[in-house]
Amino acid sequence: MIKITNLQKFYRTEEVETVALNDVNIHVKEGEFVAVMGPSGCGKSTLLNIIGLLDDLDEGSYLFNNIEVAKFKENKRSDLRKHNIGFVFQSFNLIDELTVFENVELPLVYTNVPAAERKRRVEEVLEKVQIMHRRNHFPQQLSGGQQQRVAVARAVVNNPKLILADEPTGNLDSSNGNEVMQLLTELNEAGTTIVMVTHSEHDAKFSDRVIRMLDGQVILETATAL
Amino acid sequence: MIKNFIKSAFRNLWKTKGYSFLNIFGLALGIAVTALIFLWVENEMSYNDTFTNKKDIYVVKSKQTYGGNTFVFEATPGLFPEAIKNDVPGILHSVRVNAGGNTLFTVSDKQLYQSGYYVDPEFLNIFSPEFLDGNIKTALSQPYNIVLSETAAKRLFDTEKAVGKTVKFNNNEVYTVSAVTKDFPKNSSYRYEWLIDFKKFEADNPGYGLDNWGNNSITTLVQLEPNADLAKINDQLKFFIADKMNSKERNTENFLYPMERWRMYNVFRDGFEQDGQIKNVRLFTSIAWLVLLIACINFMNLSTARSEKRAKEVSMRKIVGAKKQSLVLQFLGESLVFAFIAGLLAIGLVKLGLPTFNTLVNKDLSIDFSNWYHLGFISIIILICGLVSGSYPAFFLSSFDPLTTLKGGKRKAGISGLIRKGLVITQFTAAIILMICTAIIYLQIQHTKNRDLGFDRSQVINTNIQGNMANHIDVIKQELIGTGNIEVVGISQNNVLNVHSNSSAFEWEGKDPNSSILIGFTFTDPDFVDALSMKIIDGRGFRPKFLGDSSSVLINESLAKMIQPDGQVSGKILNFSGQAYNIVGVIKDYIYNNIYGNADPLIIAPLAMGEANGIKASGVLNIKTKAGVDFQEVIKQIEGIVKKYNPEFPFSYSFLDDSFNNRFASEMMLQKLASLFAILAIIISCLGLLGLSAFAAEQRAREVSIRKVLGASVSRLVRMLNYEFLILVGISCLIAFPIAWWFMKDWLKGYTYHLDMPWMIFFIVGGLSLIVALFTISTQALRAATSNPTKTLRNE
Repeated sequence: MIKITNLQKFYRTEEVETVALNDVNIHVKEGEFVAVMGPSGCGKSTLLNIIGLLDDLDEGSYLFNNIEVAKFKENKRSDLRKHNIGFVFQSFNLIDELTVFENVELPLVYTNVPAAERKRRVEEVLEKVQIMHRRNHFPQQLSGGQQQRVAVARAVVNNPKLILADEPTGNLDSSNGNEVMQLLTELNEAGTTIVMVTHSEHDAKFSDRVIRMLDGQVILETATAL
Repeated sequence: MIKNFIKSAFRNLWKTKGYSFLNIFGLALGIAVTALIFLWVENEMSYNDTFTNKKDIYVVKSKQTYGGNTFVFEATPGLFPEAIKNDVPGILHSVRVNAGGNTLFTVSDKQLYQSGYYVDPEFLNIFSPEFLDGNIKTALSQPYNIVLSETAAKRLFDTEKAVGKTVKFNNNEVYTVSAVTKDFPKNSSYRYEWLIDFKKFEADNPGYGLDNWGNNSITTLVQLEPNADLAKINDQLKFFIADKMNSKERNTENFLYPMERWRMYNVFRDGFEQDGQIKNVRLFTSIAWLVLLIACINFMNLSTARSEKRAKEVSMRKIVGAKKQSLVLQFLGESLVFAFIAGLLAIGLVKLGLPTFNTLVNKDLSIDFSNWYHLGFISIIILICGLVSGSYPAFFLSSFDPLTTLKGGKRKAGISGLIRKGLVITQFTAAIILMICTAIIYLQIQHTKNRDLGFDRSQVINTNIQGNMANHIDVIKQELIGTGNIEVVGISQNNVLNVHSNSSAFEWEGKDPNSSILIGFTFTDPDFVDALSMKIIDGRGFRPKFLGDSSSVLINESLAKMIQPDGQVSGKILNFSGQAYNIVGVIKDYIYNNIYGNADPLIIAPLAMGEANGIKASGVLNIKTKAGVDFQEVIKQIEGIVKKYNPEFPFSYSFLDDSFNNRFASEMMLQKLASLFAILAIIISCLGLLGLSAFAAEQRAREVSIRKVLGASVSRLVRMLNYEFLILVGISCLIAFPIAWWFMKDWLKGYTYHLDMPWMIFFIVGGLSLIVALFTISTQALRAATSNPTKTLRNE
């Protein structure tokens, strides 16, 4: 599903050029659950952003489902993103002015899904994450765990092929964190490919494979013990 | 999707109630001001629209050149209308019109002054008033018929039927009401309360010179046939009078001036149409757009300043699939919602403000939603506001990079910060320009009010000589002096500020026979000069009771210098129509008619001379009171004496000071409106500044807290926060000053008597703007500087 070859990414200011990613090669098969780990500043979030088409690469190739997307312009990236990729963030990033239902509905609005169909799909996914009873609440009225469940619901409502999760349990206690990891595991078992950035060894155990990074390079890839 | 956007818009509005209020109220104020101005403009532009024949109606103007100066009047000879109707093809109606002035009407015990005209009957064909009673055929068919307007009829007869009833006219003659017509709207020419057949005026004023081709004393109004050739008619009218007089002189031309231009363009200089009310229409339209621009800039600034708060929302929308166009539409839509709410609030503000505005501009303006123009106008303004105000924020907000937000970074101020500063500068520049212009208009009015007019207008009470007063005038004067409160009483043909008669037929020894000089003339009694404290600079005044002065005249300094450069001309002779008049004295120039102009040449002749020339014994008493008198008491005394000899007429009076001040009515209105709009512009700008400064303080809360912990004083922090905005206001001043100077230099040029550009005003206005801005910003800066730093730093 994802094939990244010889990826280079630099950050340039007036005086300094920083190598964020240096000759990175990553291959993620469809249906895999991959965890990316490493110390702060190693480039794992940058890698995730590139995979999610939120950032571009300076050199190298990125094949997404065998389509070369490295040189895509923003509109094309946006189209590809909204139909294929769901995002889960550490700080949830729900829109405070929208209710739970409206937040989850948002991706369907931008893919022009008719209202009745939107309602059906949102309710289905809210049931799945067990937050249906808070559908008319605003994010500020929910706990951290509940907000992250909503964020997961939003990420999957469009049935994306790929979910990118950036430290999804970073702001949660262990109990809520486990719940979220359980949700992600269920999604993966249902066929969704997941790439997750994490600091937590505990969370990494939910994945099939761990990619370890240091100073912008992949230093190790290991299969997770069953 | 639209439902989602609208929900989001209202919830964002509610979430930031304070800023939303500033935004909406500022925009509402701008829209309200624009709406009021455009109601006024609409009223002005629709002047005379009530007349269905408007495009075919003309007034005959006379262009005359004297001494190198060209004057344009609306006066024509009494024979003119009939003659052109007979001789010039294409003229459907041609009528004589003379203003009857304020005349006393008596019905039973009711006495009222009403104003009206003496007109030929075809006046009714030209203006087609709506007859509520009576008809056009009989309305002016008899000399003692009188047509009343609906309001006049109600005032005199209440709810009774007026037609058929009689009214006493000037306590003299009895007229029969032959018709009642609907009032012409306020924005129309020739509004009347009464009309009488011109033939009656002709019969009552045999000495008026109506049969003299050389005497321009009445107005001619004309309605052309629908397809008349205007150019051809003007060609035939051009030297019509000279041809009738068999004269080869070509210094007088006549032409038709269309009703469509009467209101907007009826100011002539040097013989050419220059401008008129259109100047004010353009000025206020510009002010309207300026104030609206300021309000829209406010909106833009506050929206973009608050944009950081929406960065997360914009980023997430982009991540889940929103394209830039969709976000632009969303934010434009929000802006339109704000503009719509502001529009509704503006309508409320307009309705609230209309009564006061109507008093200020002396009109009956109203906003009417069954009128498509009004509805359409408000809708377009709301649309423009929404789109203009929302355009920049929409593109600004939709260009947020989701990645920067995800990384927790803030947008650098960069170009957006510069644009915001530019907008603040634009706002304040516009407001400062308005304030400077307002101040200069005010100063120009004061400058003219304080002008030495050549006479003393203080403590002078005027009352008209009417009814029986003329027969007892000497006794009245004596008794007035006998009260002990009055110094002197003089009589003049008109109020001293008005000279209605002039002629170019005066000659004197040494005058260039080829030169033609227009000279004003008026008639007074011997005490007039003393009553107005005028100064005699050569010779003497009239002797008491004009003993030996029946052929004497006084002239003013300007005329004296034309006769002889040193002005010492007493004893010289003036010739007029074969009669010789002895110049017995020269008075210092005094200003009449155009209070902004220079003193034109003038002759003052004895009252008796006027009467001998057919000018009726009427006129004005100029009652000079002693210093320190109780005016209420004096007026009671005057009333008592006047009514003793003239009991049938109600007593009325005016102060010469007030008459003078009323000359500034147009400029005062301009100045009051400009002040009002300048204040509103500053308020709107300050609303914006308040919001921006609050936001800036919020943005810098962390910095302020850290500085405080490190030892910065409150005053230092306030200075730091204020500095950024005061610089912007300072730059606004620098831009505004030359623009305002340019505008006002041009405006002042329109007045012969005008003040020099008052430079101090620029600095005073600039200083005041800085102080107002400082006060606005400081409230927010002080709040930020005195907040507890631990609260901010704890949240970090």
